Amino acid sequence: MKKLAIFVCLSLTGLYFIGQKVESSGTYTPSVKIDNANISDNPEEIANNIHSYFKNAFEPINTIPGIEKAWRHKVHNSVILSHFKMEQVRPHKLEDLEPKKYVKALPEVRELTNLLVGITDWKLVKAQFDLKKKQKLARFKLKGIYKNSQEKQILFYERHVFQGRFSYTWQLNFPDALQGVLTDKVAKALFEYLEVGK
Amino acid sequence: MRIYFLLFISAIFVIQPLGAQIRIVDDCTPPLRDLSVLDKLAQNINDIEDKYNDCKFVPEEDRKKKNEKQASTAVVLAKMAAGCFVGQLKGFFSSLKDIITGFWDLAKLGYKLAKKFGKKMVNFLYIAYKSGITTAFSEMSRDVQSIGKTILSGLKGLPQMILEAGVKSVEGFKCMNAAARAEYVCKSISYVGTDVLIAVLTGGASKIGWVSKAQKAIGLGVRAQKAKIAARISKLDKLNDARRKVTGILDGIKAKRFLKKSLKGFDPKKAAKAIENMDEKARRYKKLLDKADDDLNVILTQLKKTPKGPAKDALKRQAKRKSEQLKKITASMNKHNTELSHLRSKKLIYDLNEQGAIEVKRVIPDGKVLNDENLKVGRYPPWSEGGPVYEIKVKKKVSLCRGGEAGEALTKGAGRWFLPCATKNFRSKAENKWVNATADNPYDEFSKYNLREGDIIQLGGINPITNKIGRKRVFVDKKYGTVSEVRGGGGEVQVFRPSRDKLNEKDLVRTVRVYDSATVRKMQADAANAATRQDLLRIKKKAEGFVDDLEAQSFVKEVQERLEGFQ
Repeated sequence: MKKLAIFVCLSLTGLYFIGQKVESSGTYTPSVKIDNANISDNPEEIANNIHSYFKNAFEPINTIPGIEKAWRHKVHNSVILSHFKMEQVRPHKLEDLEPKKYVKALPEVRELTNLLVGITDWKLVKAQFDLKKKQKLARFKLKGIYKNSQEKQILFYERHVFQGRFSYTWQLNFPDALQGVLTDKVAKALFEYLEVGK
Repeated sequence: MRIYFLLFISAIFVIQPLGAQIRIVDDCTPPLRDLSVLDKLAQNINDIEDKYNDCKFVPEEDRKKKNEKQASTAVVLAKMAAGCFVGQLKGFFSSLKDIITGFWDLAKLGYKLAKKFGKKMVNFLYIAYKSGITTAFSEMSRDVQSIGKTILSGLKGLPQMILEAGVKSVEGFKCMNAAARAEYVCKSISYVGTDVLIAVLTGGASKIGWVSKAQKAIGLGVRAQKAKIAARISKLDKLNDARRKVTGILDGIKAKRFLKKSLKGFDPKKAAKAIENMDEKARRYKKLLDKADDDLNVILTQLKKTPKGPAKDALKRQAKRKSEQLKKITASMNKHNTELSHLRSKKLIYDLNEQGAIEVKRVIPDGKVLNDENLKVGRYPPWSEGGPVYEIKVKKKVSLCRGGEAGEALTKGAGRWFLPCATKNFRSKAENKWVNATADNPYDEFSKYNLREGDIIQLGGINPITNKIGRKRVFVDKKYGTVSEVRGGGGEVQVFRPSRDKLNEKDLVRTVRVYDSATVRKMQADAANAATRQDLLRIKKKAEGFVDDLEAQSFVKEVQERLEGFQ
């Protein structure tokens, strides 16, 4: 009886290792070779060549309903860039927009969605507002930080644009360890580049 | 005893990788490896079991065998996760947008923010609120595993909460074997629903009265307490299936009655004539609108150049009158074209019915109920209001042809209307040229939409499109003082392939896009002839090889969409 039991134990242990192999072959991970020779980490250089930087450094990723487009940095793959777009029935009445109140309300406004994915300590560190009366365009440039569900400090840049019936949000989101690479200047250049193609 | 322990540990090792391969969302997401949360869940179940110990309601096959190890519940739950928690999570991720939208109302955020920051700000804050999905998306893209954990840790409290809610019917729980217990928990959570799940996760459980909802949803009334749990769950399943079937049958009967009544005395020749006349009238409306539009533009240009004074005031009055006239024409045109679109869809249904090609499954009396606020064809909700949308099942293969404003627009996938492809259906030779294409006609492949047997499609009148499509017409909105644009006029038939009650972008039926690249066009033709899923996958793989070719990448998406809908 004992022998039989030991035999069964050994067989099961063997199966365990077979199981491991099955997992590694069954879980397909594409081995994409990234040519990062052309992707500079120099913020000045990036900002000056933003078009080629964006094309070389970011790749589009699958989105979920609600997100217009999204990209991931090919080298620093925790860098996510996403684009949200919304259309209203009537054009925005920009004269109703009070920038100070808007910025003040944001932590409250985002509280629920943040809770949903385990985000804490969400706060804005910088907020700028532009109003282009001729183009009937209002633009918020925001920078902030939060802690994600793994307690990692995340830095984000957001740009909210209201124009006519449309509103656009771009978000650049990455762990704060990368802030030497993705500086304010780079974020600004990226958003300006994306805003042109909105 | 030690031997049994060894056996048990080995079994855990074997089963562990099974759990390790469970995927949360889809093929793109990393596997969920941590089973500790599920262990906690099992612990909660063990707590419950001590309180209820009545085996007589538990079916024999669900009863625990003597000496069965309780700890194996975690393993069984892990195995079941593919169909239970993962199902919940999948729903959660794919409906994140709806959940976020729903939360706004749930938490009465609009009201609270209006009170604090002023009513006028709410519109802007709503957009800022919804754009919070970008943060959620970034977190999910970066680490879906940890988000999964956060959600699972919220789930772990549910069994205990169900118990606390006064659900006494877990009687017999102790007697159940691990599989039955795991199934019970899974089913309970499924019945409670995603909104409860989310409310629990975010600590807002009390806000939606989830306790009564849970009781109601799981069907745990006084009588139910005496019923067998497994049997009840299976009965509920059966009941829901039966309800769906009955609803389907009733819809079918209603649709037949509606059709009988609506098509009684319907004369296709008269209808075709009426459509022709109405179409002529629609063209006159368009001309009128164009003229009024041109006049207004002339006035507005003059207005800009004219200095302040009586002349400018006169021009302002003139512009105001003209914009009023434009609005009136637009309103009349919309009304007329809506009627036209209804007649056209009725005629199409009649034609298809006559050919024995379709069976009408459901008639939705007013198309606007299907209009999702987020879905915009030509930037406007697709179905016209006040008229029916027909849901049909295709009985035999039939092609619908697209016609109308063909030419360049048609090659881009745009067109005006659908009709069964037949020479007699079309109004002019030119239209026939487009829709009754021969093998030599290059437009053949994109002017037809082939319906396959068993296809379910929705068909109805299209809403007048008032912006961004067609020729631009400008008019001044008196109330808001803004200059608006009017484009397109509706009056045509729209076809959707619905995947749910509210339509989304994926449901849109489009004719095939024509690519500039000959290689892509060749692949496209191959894809059109692909008989199996494997053929399509092969073509997709080939197209994916053209990494720098934007058209090829666009074609990959097209194939992907087809693959998703491939039966």
